[in-house]
Amino acid sequence: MVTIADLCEIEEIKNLRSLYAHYYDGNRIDELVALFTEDAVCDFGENYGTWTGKAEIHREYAAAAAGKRPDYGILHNVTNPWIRLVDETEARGRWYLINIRSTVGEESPLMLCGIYDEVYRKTAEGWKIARTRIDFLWPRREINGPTDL
Amino acid sequence: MVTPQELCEIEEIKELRYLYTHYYDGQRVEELADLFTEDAVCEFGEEYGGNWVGREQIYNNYKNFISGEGGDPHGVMHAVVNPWIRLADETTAHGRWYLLDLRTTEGIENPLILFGIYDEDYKKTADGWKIHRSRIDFLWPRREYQPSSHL
Repeated sequence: MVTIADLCEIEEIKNLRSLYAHYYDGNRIDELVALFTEDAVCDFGENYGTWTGKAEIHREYAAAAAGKRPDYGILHNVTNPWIRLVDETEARGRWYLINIRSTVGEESPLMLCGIYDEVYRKTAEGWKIARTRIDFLWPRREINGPTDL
Repeated sequence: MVTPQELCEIEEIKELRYLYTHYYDGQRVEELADLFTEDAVCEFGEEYGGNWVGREQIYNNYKNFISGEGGDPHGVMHAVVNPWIRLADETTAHGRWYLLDLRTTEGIENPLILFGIYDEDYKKTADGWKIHRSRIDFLWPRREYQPSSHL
């Protein structure tokens, strides 16, 4: 049963995931990286590698933002949140990801479909992303499956 | 006005619907069937063999459907958005959700399978909220539309 206290925690985690999308797609990298714990890990597979710790995560996202694209030139649509509170300071989540290239002139906007598989940790500054991974589904497949969900 | 208690009930119903998609797309059929009441009905139309009545038939049909489709888990993505949930009383609720069905198989050129709307009844049991009736208003590419049931 979901209690009112659980609901507030779940809402903060959902908000964290939405903020990630808005900050990333809006090229607001400092605010994006502030969503991670100091020792966070981004595990984005064969094509993007594993980034460990906030400094490396910042470098990688900044490089991705610098190389490209207007604000909101990509939309990370996230839906179907499956959030499980493990204890008072840890939670897990899986989200469907539908990535769309929202750049003028783009003829085929659908970029990729995947599933975020994440660990969240509650810190003194609220819930943060402690680990994020993507099960890539389409157009290229690279799946590890759910982590403890 | 939504009360905090109602908000908790609505969250559980949303979670039920999201679990349906993760279990179905992940081919976890036993956990999927467990989301339905014992006497649930799936009304997916003639194309899917008419009504599926009761948890046992629902389990068997999902299992057959998944094995008939072949392929690995998460070869299909049932993305559900725009939840419209109404609590009818303490043990009954209704919901409508937009469905974007995508074929997420490597090499597929156009992943869009169908657009539709889930139209559902939920019942609160001793084991929490369960799906009591599920129907799809098919919109695209084939249209088979009924007006909403209770919403």
